[in-house]
Amino acid sequence: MADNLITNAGLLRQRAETFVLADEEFEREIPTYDEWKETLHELRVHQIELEMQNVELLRTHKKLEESQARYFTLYNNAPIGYITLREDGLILESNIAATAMLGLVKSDLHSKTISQFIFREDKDNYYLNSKKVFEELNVDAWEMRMVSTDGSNFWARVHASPVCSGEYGITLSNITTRKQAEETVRKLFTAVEQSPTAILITDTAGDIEYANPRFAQMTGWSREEAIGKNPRLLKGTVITDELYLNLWDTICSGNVWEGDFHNKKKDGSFYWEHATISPIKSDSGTITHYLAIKEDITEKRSLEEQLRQAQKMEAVGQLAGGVAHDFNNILQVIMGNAQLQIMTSQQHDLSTHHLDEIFNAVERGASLTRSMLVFCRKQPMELKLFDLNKLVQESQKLASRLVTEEISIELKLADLVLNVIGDFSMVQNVVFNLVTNARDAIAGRGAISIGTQLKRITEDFSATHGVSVPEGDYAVLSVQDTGCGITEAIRKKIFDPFFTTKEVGKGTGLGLAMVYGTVQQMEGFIIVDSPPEGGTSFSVFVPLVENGTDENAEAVKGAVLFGQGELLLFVEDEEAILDSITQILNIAQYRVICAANGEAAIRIAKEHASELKLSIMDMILPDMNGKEIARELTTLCPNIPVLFLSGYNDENRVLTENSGNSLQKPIHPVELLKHVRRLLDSSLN
Amino acid sequence: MAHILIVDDGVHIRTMLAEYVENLGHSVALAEDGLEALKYLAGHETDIMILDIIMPEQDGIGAILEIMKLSKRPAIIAISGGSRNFDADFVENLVKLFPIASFLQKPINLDDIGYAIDKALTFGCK
Repeated sequence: MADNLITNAGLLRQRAETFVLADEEFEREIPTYDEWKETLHELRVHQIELEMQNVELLRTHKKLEESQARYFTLYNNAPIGYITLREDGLILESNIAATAMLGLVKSDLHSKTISQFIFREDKDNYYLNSKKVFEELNVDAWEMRMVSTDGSNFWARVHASPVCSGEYGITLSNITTRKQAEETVRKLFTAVEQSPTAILITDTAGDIEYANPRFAQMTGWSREEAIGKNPRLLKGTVITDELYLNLWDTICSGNVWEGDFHNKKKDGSFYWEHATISPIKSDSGTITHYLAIKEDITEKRSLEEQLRQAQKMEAVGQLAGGVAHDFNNILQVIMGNAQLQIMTSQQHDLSTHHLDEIFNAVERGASLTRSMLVFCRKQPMELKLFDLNKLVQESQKLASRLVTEEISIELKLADLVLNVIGDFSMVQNVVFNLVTNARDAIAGRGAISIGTQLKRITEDFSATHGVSVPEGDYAVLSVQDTGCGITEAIRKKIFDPFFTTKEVGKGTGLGLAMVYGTVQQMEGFIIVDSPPEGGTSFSVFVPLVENGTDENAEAVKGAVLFGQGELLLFVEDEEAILDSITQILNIAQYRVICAANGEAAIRIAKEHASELKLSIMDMILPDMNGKEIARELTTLCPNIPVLFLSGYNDENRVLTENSGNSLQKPIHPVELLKHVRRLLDSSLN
Repeated sequence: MAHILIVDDGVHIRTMLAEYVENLGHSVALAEDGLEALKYLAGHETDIMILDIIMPEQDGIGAILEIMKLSKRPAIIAISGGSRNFDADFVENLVKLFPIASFLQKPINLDDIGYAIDKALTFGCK
């Protein structure tokens, strides 16, 4: 810069001299000494003035340069990108931020256009906006996606303004983070709007600021009606002030409140809701809003109630059935002795008044026992062969409904088939009862694990567990929890009917009694393990049935007597036998079609060929003998086994003894049912 | 006058029934299960047997099946109060498949036992 000034000074002198030489008037008169002196003075003053002016100018010039440099630094280091563009979009100049954003290199200036850096779908948007800037000479702003040299995309907010003729400037701000946040908010908003649970946001005073559509569905109050109001508009009659105080205490102190309300809809009807209310805090930790998540649990509650009721009834029924036999024997002794004493008194002409009272009371007791039995017969034991794993899998869905979200249920099933014989629905109830108890043992968060396994019981087992059980293979169903555990004192009583540690009204005290009853009937046993460090595991052992083979199946008493609604054809001409055996087969849950002669039997077989599973046939019938009918039947339904009944005194007895497919009269019902079941099972195999 | 065997695993029921039957003027023998009853029947002529169906050792149905094989067999009055696995109606249906004289559900009014004995003596087995 200094060299420039000297050069400039040289040039100035040259030009000044030219001017001086050209001034002819200056040389026309020779000035006097005084005039010289004066002129010299003037010149010197003038020169000093000029020098002073020059210093001033230099200073101003320097200031200007400094200022320019300052603004250039500002321009260059600004966090916002600045780009100067020619009207056709050619990039003329860009600051550091813009260079970094677009990944520009020096050679890009004056060679690349801005549109090369605009996301394809947004180019149109850019042209429209920049055109407006030129035509209207206005400042305009918009948002668009841009592409950096390295191919990465970002969202930019663009500000464009005309600079001078044919040039305009744009500023770029990277708003990707904001856009992403907006996107997240949009998604969350959609989720909240679509949520199957009602969601409310209130201010700190409790006035509703937001309600999602589910809230309207659930309560009948539209969003417009709800906003600005207090959720108390849902208040039902059951809610106590205490509950509200507790709720406010909890959330005001920054904690999450959870509980059930019996609330009222707009139309006045009541419903149960489960609500979770939590404070929304600002960055500084101040509570700004409250968030309420509400779920209509009316149906769930009623299902639970039904389940509870059904379990209770079943347990009572089972107990009734279990004690009825013994009870009847006791009543028998009282009744008989009372009657005997009445007779003795009558012989001696004594009053029998008190004995009559006893007799009457026993009769009432007997009728009560009968009605209990009628009740428990509503749910008869339906014994069948099933895989314990399948049962657990099928029970899982309902079991998971019994627990809150804070409790996880895990299945650990044996990877082999565990066939057992029992009443499917009652064993399911065993699972539900054990899961319910596990749930109640867990306060807050926890886990329940339902497992099955095969276990061989040997002498050692009986010794270590202090129980005496038959040796053999057992299918084991275990339910384990991470709950509070059971103390030794309580463990002794848990299977007692009506014993409960739960609050009044929460438990019947029959759950484990029922579990015990069911397991007993299956000739199994239960091991309870509750170590001092907490957690309890109930292991139910039931005899394993090896893939439905007869010997094993028959080992379980009574189990193989029953059917599963199979259709049987029974051919018998003697009405008394026909009636009684049909009744037995019906009791054992078979469906029976009867025929009194061979012709009817064949007609029925034709009609029901597809459904028929077995036929039971008297050897001697009026029109044809059993063997002939059997031949006809075999051609009609080839795979149907036939069980022959031979008369006790048949002269022309074809079969002389009980064999695989024949029975001699009189028929032992248990034998009959065993044969039927065995023939059915083997025909299936 | 008849000779009657009473088979029931409950001692109080056995003795009570025995007293009643004796009061009616019949002679009585007692057995506590099917096996004991069969042993008795082999050596003693018996007119009527009052038989409980649900018993621990040999149950009533097993006993009936054995009795069917005897050349001279008593009339059977079956009694039962049901059990954990089979209620009394089921037992009644089962035993009615056999040639028995009567079935009575516990608790039984002794008058009904008296009536059943008279019926068995008049008509014999069904």
